[in-house]
Amino acid sequence: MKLELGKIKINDIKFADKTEVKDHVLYVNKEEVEKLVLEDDKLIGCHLEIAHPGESTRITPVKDVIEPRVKVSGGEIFPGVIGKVTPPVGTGRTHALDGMTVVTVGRIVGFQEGVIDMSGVAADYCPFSKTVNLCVVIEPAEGLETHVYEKAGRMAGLKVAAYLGETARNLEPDTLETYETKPIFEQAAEYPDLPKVGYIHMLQSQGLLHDTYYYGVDAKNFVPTFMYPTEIMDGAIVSGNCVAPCDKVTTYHHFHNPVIEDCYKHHGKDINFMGVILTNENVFLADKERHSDMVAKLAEYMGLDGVLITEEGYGNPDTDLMMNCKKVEQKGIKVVLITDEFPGKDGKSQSLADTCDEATALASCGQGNMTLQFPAMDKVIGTQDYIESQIGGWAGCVNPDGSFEAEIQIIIASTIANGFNKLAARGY
Amino acid sequence: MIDVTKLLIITNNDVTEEYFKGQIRTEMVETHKDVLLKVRDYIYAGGWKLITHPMASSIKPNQTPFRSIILIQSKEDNTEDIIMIEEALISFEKFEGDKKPTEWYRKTTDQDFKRIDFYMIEDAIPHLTR
Repeated sequence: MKLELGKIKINDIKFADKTEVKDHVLYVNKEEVEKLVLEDDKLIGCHLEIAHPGESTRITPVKDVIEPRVKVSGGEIFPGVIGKVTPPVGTGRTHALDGMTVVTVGRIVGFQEGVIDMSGVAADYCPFSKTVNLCVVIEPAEGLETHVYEKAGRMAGLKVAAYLGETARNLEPDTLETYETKPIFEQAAEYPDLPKVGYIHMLQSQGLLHDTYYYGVDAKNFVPTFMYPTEIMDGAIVSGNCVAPCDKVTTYHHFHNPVIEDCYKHHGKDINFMGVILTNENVFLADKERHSDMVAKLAEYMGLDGVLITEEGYGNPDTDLMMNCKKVEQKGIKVVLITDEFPGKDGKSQSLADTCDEATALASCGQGNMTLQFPAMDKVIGTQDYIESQIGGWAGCVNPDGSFEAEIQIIIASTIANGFNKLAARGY
Repeated sequence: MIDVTKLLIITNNDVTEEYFKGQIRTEMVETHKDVLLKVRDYIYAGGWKLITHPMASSIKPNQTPFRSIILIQSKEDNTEDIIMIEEALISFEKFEGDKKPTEWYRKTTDQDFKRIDFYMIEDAIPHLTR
């Protein structure tokens, strides 16, 4: 599969009568977007706000962050969710609005949505403090079940991102990148002297508000499978999660998976990047055993010499992580784990909830228990009403002036366990 | 296929208790920690194994007041289950801070936490008997 990814740099967003991109500025017809969101009768309120880097602005509670993209050729964006499920994505040409995001904002459950600060100390920990963000603030109809509202919120963000992505269809991209992974025998033969490396991508799939979708399929309902790495760049994976903000893999992060991007950078130089094994994180122990067996079987079948593994979440998924590590290593394949840590506030306790003898190489993406003083902001997009109950906050942590103390867990993507963050260990 | 009559749910979540009434034997305890301790006691007593992982996913142990765990009667070796429940207890102790939730906190989040905990095992019967 070969994909051309064209990026159009967006420096600012402004409201206007017509939705279009001109001179690196995205103009948005506010009414059209609000109407699009309110087509869903489960949402009764929607308004848009723009947040720029450096402003005294706080966005919270954040549900998802999405980059607008469009498929110029080769299928449709977010297949099985917004676009048609067939043909499969990952080929043809895709255009992306680079440097901006769509952020869905609104309370889903009382504790699991995060914070984005556009300036101040907390901005250093968040990638979305450096992008121009179009915030879609949503309000649910009375009496909706939580999971129904979650779906409405998820779809609202994706619809808006796809709508804005359309503006890029006929634009000339500023940069054009090409990514290619060939069918297994061809790919193995292309660089016969380089080690064959794969990526085991564990998707959060633990039930209500903890689900991820692959071509629209709830990840808890599939068995481990192979994915061409380019598929993810076209929205084959969509986040439905409201997990802890710090290690939530947003839909934006799926587009920009750093393991995949870095493996492509090394592809043909020092590794032969063979592709992605997608798996899930299960509630029932028998499923964990079965799926880690299948992951190891696929890794062996692909003839891999080494794999990188990432997880999403803490606790229960650490067991899936270690089972995958152990069983893949036992096939004679080298494993490097990538994850974040929760060693308690003093940083001295065990970082993960599980371990195994085979886990001998691990890249850390930082620890989420560290606390930070969040300054008061001039503007809040959404509401600060739930800070105390959001993950990372606690009763009494908010001061009357709107400043508060919280663990960095509360910041969206601060310790994201795939390395797309400031705390990732990097080699120079 | 699993024999449902051999299952036991330890929970402090009344939504779980209500839903599985008459289907799976359920023991109610008071707190999240009591759930972990009760499960530990069953496993050490012998004849029981874990069906679900004792920890939640992404919600740290000090962050949810509710937990439901499924056990099964079994004569198989349960050494791994012992390690798993002990690790869950260590993790619980590590995170249990001095930040006791206020009435307001409980009022705004209890229903959400109950739902999240319950939905993890909602499909237990069709899932385990398929």
